[in-house]
Amino acid sequence: MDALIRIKPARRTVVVGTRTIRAEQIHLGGALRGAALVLCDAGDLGPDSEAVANDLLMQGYEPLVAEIDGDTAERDHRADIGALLDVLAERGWEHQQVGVLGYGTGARVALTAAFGFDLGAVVSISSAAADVAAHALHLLDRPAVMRVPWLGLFAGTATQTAGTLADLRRRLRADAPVYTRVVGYADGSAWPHLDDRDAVDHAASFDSWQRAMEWLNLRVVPRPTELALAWARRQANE
Amino acid sequence: MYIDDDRTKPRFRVHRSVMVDTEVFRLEKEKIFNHTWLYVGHESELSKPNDFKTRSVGGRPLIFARNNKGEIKVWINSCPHRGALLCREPKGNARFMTCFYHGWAFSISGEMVSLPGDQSYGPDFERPSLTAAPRIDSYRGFVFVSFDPDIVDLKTYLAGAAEYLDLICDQSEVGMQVIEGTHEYSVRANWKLLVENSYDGYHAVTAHQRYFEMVKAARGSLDGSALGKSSAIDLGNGHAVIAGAVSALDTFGRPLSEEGRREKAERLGRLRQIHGDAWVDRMEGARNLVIFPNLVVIDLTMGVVIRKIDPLAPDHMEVTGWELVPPEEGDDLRRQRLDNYLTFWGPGGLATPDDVEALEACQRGFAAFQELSWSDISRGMAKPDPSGSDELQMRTWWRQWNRLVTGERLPPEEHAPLAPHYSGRSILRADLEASPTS
Repeated sequence: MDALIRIKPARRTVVVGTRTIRAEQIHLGGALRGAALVLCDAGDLGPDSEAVANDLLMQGYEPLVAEIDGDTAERDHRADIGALLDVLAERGWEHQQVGVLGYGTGARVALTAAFGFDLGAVVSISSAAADVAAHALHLLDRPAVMRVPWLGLFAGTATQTAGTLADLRRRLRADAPVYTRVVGYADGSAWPHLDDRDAVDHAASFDSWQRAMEWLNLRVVPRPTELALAWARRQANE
Repeated sequence: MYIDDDRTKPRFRVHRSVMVDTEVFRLEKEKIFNHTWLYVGHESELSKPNDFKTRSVGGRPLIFARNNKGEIKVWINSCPHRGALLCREPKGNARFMTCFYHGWAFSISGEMVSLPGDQSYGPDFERPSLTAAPRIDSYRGFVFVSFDPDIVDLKTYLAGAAEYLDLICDQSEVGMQVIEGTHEYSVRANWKLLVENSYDGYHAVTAHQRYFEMVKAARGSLDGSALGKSSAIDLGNGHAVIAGAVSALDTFGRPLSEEGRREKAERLGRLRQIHGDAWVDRMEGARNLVIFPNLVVIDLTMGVVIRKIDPLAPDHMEVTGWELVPPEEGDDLRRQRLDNYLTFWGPGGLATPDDVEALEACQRGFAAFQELSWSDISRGMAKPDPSGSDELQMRTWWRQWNRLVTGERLPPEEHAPLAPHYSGRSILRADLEASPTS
């Protein structure tokens, strides 16, 4: 029996031009630390996304989970992210107070977000390392620069992609003006969002979640309290 | 009296009590480490915004960081709330640091960003920022702090040592960089012994015989003549260097490949075009530089080592070493450099263990300091032009030590003017200094 009590997210649709994005949100009162935008594959909204949303809440992040269409063009993905950030802005979240986590297709789109928006932090989690690495190199080849610290977590990166990740690390170290980190997990053919009965996959899942949360905690700008805002105003006037 | 500086004999001696006495150790902390510029790290160690390293400098825990705007900051690594170390990691990247004790959080730019349950402090609570080291300054990427707010500016403090940092920093056309990875080790000996050892040319052939045997085996022969062709130079303010007059390229390390030699020659050729022959001739010589009190920069042309010596107790020190490289060099040159960094300078290499053993042997011997009270550092006092195998450089350091600890000023030694080789200047730097600044 699952001992955890989870909050059921509210479903909503976000309109982007002629397209729509299916999304889930949880609104809580109190002073949350930041917001987290979770990008996942079409059809992924369900128990796994609900678990991710609840775990983010436990870490102090208001979650917005959205399904991303992998067939959409990159510029449309930028529009999607912009629209989703607008949803968070309705709740008072500024871009620097938002961390982005991208799973599956969302891993590539999260990378796009790191080049297009001044967010707090971005994490890509994928079992398609070569695909995401190629997208990163493609973005790095363009004049636009990476603006947000980016963490890439890749499952199933045994020998065939180890070289790809090494190349990506070298390129990021040389050309990304922000801090980046690429972590590969040798085993695990598919990415479990949170848990798995296989011991190795479970270890990878646990480690990656810990890394993702630390990545956000170290970089997402905390929302100031009313007293903190009052203090800042006093300091500015002195 | 700690120093016996007798110019009539001549004779220079250091009383061995300074190596064991806890009161002397306390005086050193108060009068030296509270009132000098102390090395923290190199700017290139913080390559990205929000990179940080934690360091111990002058006995204080510090956070050496580059903030979101790219500015170098040095913070006291202690939470303003109740004192816990704010950052307990040796290095990393973080825009915010949160104290694990009560959760107070600060940006790497120093501002408080949050404290849990702030309502309990009320609206008028003065939110503290991080505390910076009183003085922070850098020269050619070398970042120093001082805990004396009234100390002279860093460039003035460095005096003639700045020129020797220039000689090292000008070896790259894009800026020298510290590479990842440090040597960290401790020695059961007084910290001043490693200062002396770091530019003690006299001990090389005896203490490091094993290393030179390795070089001979790797090369088939060993030209030791370069070791003797050097000068000891007083650079002012207690800083000194032993500088080689000729290239030591063929003295140290494994031989370079033909490709490496070709690249090295090409690199030096380009540097000659930029800086002129006189400066690059000097650059090609080796140098062991000590910036008072505890920074060592050794450039044996096969690699540049930065060494920071931290006293823990009268008989215990910690040593941290970094390798400074021209990032544009090719694979062969880098391979030789890294090989030398490990085989010569490494804590498990072919030279450093010899030094550690020698220093610990000295420290054990100092247990009899009441019966055998003085160490001799007179070598070269009677010579017109002391070499790197003499001990002028150590006497220079000890006279500054003596001035700060006791207040007694001992005049510098008079020697013949340096050979013309040592006066070569960079034409680029001369142009920069001559041009008006905006």
